[in-house]
Formats: sequence, structure tokens, C-alpha cells
Amino acid sequence: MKYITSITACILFCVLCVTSMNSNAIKVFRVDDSASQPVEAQSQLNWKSLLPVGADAHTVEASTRVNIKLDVKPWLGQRGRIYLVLPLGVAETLSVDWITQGRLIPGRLGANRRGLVYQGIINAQILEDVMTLKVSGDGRKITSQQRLQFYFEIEPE
Amino acid sequence: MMLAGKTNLPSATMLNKHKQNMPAVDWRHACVFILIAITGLAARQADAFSFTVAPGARTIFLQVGNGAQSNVATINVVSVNVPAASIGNATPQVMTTNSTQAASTITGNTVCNVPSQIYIAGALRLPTVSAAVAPLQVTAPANLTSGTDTIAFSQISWTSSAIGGTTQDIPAGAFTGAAQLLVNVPANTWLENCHTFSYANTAIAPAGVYTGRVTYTLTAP
Repeated sequence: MKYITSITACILFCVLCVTSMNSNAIKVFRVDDSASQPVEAQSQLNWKSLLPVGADAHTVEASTRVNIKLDVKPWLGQRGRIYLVLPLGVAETLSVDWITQGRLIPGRLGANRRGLVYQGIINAQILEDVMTLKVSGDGRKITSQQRLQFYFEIEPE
Repeated sequence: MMLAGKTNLPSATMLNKHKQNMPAVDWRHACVFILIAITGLAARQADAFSFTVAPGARTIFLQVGNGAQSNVATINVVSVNVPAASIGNATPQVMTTNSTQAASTITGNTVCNVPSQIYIAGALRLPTVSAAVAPLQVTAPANLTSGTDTIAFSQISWTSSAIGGTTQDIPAGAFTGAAQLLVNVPANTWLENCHTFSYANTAIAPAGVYTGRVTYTLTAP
């Protein structure tokens, strides 16, 4: 009976933990972007300068287009800010910027590895755009293949 | 999530068994497991798109004489006419070339005096910060030849300079009549210089046109 009580207390504790976590992070939610697809899922980083001289002596860059489809139904009618996020990891030496076709905002990832892509009233169930994503960095430091796992998050206002 | 696959919540029977045998601390392990399982579910709320990038390509660049940032088949000629009265008098004879490459291929700045100098440049591109190098070698035959007559290739030497530069990236030397190392080109570094060739003129050889070809080789590690 003592153990059953302990486990019950434990479960309650866990539920409280999760509830607490949700209440602390209540302003940030992951956006379902499972319908988003990059046109080219893989690319080689190209040296910006053929030879290692000048300001871009060691810069490499690559780009891809991404058909963005963000399911924002849960926030329909609300104001909010949506961010593109690239978690910190081995690719943190890479800079990321993007242009769009107008539905989303062009920009770049900041030092906190996220960048604003939408701000305003969520007036559609699905936010769609074509994003041209460019990554660049010091080619000497990118020594192996890097999988950049992006996601979107929303801060309802 | 591997914990989830291997760990089940204890059944009532198991609990009874554990009641007898488990130390009191064991229930905390179950507690941790439950927390991981719940947060794991929370993290699966949405997918993400990914973009995979491969490192920059390994590339190597070598230019001797006329060239560009692409493959060029030109083979330049370095030559000297030794007056009959001067043959073998040990007075060095400065050689000239048919090169028109005065400008640095990468900066466009004038670095060589033409036609008296040959432009030489090399680079190695590697996606690494390590101290990798590409050896730059030159290989000369033992002799210049004119029919069956010969002059040792070691009669020819060179100095190294560059307009606007003070360092000898690719240093001065003399042909040995075999393969020889000129310099190790560090990865992700650009080296260039202009070489002025000279014939030592210590050999007494029959009149004739003596020729030989040297080959420069840059090898990626």
C-alpha cells in the first residue's frame, strides 16, 4: 500500500510538472509544419570564392526552396508571432537567412537561432509560402554532412 | 524512449514482489520514467522540415605562366641565347619568357614583370581547419638536349619575387634534374610568386638549341 501511494504521488507530481511546464511556456507553441517540404532536401556547400583570397575566402553557402505550409488553425483569429527555429547544435556556425514570396517575412536567424517569419492576425487555417533558404558559414569548420532540422513556433499575443 | 520499450509500469503482482525485495528508492526510478514518457509525448506535437548540407568540395589550383581560374593548356617557354663569345664563361645569363601573365589570377594586381618572369600560384581548398598541406613539386629531366648533346638542367636556377610582396611564397632554387619539393602549400591558403630564371653558363657545349620540359605538380593530401 505504501508503494501504491508513492506511485500515485509520483504520477500526481509528474502531472503537476507537465502542467507547470505548460503554464511557464504558455506563450510558445510548436506549429505543425509537417506539410512543409524542401524542394531540394540536400545540397553541397559551395565555396563562395573559388580561391582562398579576400573577404569571403573561406565562406561556403548553399540554398534550397521550401514549400511552407503551417497549420495555424488553433490560433485562427488571434494575433501572434511565428518564428523559424534552428536548434543549437553542430551547425551553429552556419548563418541562415531567407527570402519569401510575401506571405511570410524575409529575415535571418538571430543569435538565439530563431527569426521572425510572421506577425499579425492569424487569418487563415494554413499559412503557405515558398521560402528560399540560404545557409552560409566558414567552410573550414563544416567538415561533415549537417542535417539542419528546422521548426516553427508561435507566440500568441 | 528506449526506456519505454524496456520498462513497464509494475503490475500489482510485481508491486507485491517489490514490496518484499525492492529498496525504497526504486519507485523514484519509475517516477522518472513516467516523466520522460509524458514529456516525450509533448515533444511530438509537430514535425519539422530538414535540409542536409555537405561540406565544401576539395579543390586544388595550380598555375604556371599563362592561365586562368580554369584549365588552360598553354605551356610557356623560358629561353636564352648565349653569345658564342660568352659560352661557358660562368657569367650567368638571365633568361626571358613568352609569358604574358603579369597580373595575379586572383587579385588582378600586377605582380610579375613580363616577359622576364613566370607567374606561379597554387592553392588547396579543404573543409578543414587542420594543418593539411599540398606539396608543390617541380620535376626536370637530367639534361637539356640538342640531338645527342646535353647540358645539365642544374645549370638553370631561379629567383623569386612579386611586385608589392616581400615574401617568397614559392622560394628560389635551382633544378636538380629530378623531382624536387618547392613548397608545401597549406590548406586554404593562396600562394603566388614570380620566378626569374637564369642560366649559369659554366658548361661548354656544342652550338645548338637545347630544350627540356619541366613539370610542376601540386598534390592534394
